[in-house]
Amino acid sequence: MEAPAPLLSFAERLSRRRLRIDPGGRQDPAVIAALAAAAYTPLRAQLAVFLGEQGFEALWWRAVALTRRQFPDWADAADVAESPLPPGLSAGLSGADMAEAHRRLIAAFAGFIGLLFSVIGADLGSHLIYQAWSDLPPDAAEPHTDGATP
Amino acid sequence: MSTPRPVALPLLPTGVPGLDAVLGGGLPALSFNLISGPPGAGKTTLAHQIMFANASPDRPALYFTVMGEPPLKMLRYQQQLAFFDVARVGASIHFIDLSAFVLEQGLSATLDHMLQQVEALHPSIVIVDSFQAITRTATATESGAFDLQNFTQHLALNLTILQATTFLVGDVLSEQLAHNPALSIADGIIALAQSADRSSVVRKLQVIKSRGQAPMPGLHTFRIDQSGLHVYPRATIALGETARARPLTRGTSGVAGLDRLMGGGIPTGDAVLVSGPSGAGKSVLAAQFIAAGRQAGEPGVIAVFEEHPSEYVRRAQSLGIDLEAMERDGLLKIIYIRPLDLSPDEALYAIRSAVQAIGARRVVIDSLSGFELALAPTFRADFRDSLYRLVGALTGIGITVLMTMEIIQSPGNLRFSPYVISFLADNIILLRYVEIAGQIKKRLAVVKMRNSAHSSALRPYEITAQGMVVRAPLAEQRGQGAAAERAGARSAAYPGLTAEETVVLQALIELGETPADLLARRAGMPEGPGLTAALHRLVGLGYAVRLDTGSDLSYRPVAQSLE
Repeated sequence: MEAPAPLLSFAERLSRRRLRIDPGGRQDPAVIAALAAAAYTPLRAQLAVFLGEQGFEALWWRAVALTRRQFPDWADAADVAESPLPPGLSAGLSGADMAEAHRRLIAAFAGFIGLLFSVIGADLGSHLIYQAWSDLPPDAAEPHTDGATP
Repeated sequence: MSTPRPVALPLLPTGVPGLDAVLGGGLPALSFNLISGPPGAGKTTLAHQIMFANASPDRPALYFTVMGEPPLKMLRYQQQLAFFDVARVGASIHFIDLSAFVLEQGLSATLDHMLQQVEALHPSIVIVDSFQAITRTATATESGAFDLQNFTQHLALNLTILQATTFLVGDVLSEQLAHNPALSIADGIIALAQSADRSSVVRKLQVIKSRGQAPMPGLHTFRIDQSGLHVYPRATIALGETARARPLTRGTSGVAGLDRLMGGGIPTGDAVLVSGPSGAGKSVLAAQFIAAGRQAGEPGVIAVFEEHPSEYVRRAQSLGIDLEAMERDGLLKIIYIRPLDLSPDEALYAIRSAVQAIGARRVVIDSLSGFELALAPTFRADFRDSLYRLVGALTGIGITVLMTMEIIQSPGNLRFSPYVISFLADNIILLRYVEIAGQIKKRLAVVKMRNSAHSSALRPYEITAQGMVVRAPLAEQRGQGAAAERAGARSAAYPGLTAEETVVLQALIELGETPADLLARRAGMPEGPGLTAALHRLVGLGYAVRLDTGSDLSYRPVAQSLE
């Protein structure tokens, strides 16, 4: 079951805010990996406590599978060993250029958040996301929407 | 030397309407409790409700999930309940999943981990859901029984020291787990159950154990809706209530002629049963009883079980009784209850709440037949018991209760209700039809008044545009064919008798045991073959017995079963 379109859009906005790249910063794969880790680590720490490791992983891997479907050229391979990227993403992101890798990363996190919303609702889901990403940068497009769900 | 007073335990509210009363005031703080019940009984919902009622930022609540309902699903569904405040999650409400911990590291490490979390968060409430999963994990190993005992004892001890009130959630009372150490370690055990009878489901709660408290015994029904659990404590009639001295005042029934028959009105705090066939005017009398309360400064409650309140109000309006205005003025509450899976205690709760809301002194239950139909089938078998408790609980606090009961009238059967319930009515008013000269007429009698003398006359009455009006007795009516009416009415009431035989029987009933000469005078007949034949027929048909002592000959009416 997919979250309704407004919630998917909200999930994508949250993902974009968390994974924002500094336009004047470095442009290499390490930036993507660092962004991904900065988003994934606190998210997992927060949600695995609530949902259990199994619950979190089930959601995450489902999000990865849905993201792969959006990108047909996503390599059907196991994770690259020692990859700093979150589980399931290295095969899809490693060969892509910076912009494409960033797009895929946003899609994966947006998919995860959308799934979370579809299961526990956007109110509780966003409440937990905000707790996990307490340093979430403001939404440039909609600066007054923090804490509000569509 | 003064008697030492017991130390009062600080109590926590459960947040569940009705449950604090069942528990004897609330949950003892720092107690170690079990919430038990089969799947779907409402254990997790109850635990959540207690948690949200007690958690605060200073003293949060900690909910450990352990391999029972997956946390994702639990959160999904519990959010639907009104008390679930998303904003408090992660602030005063904390969820921690221990499933992987229990599986991978065993009970000892799980206990340490739990205690660390409790020390860190300093919660006032700790919930472990499901404890059954921990039990299963423990008993799967060779030393399982010992491990479980050890785990439970340490958990109980340490959580109390850490100043937490704890709830273990699971079906720990089921047969396989009957030797669960938690049963003896727990300070309190709340058992939830649900049973299906035909197409209705009834939920019941029992406080099996509550150390240091005096919980209400027995099974208490409860419902789960969007607001969570709502418990309806089993109505009991407190000794003080039953033993109270009844006030010596009377209230008007709203029908002047009926008040006269009742010796001056209805004794305050009495239960009145108005019994009669369909269309006889039972609800009219009930509406007049309530309307009369307005003049007497006695607000009323009407519990309607059959027709919709709007129809009830409209019909009263046609009699000049403005129930809507009474409601507006706070002098009346109309409750409409017909869920078909009702428990008597739920009905009593609704009535009591309405009574308390407006300080009602009069209550109408219209009708007992509808009330019975609204009950879940499982309660119908105990209808008399339920009604006894309901009526006793109301009259016990001085409320005058008027109940209507539809009966199917048969000429030779004077039953007031399909049940033997007249024992719980202090007063019984019987409405009935009689056939007179090809017309159906209405007649009324006060057949029982427990605390008062009353007239036993069968009186004509009419439902007029002003409501029920009781007319003068037949004997006082002149030029209206009263004799024919009297005979016709009585014939209809006593099948198999001629009009003359009916007059004799009626006289016999009025006089009780009596010799034939007095009977003749009362019946207005000469002594002789006609009277002898009539008496012979009454004896033959079982309406009377002949008492011949050798020196005296008398007749006695055979009392008909009135119930």
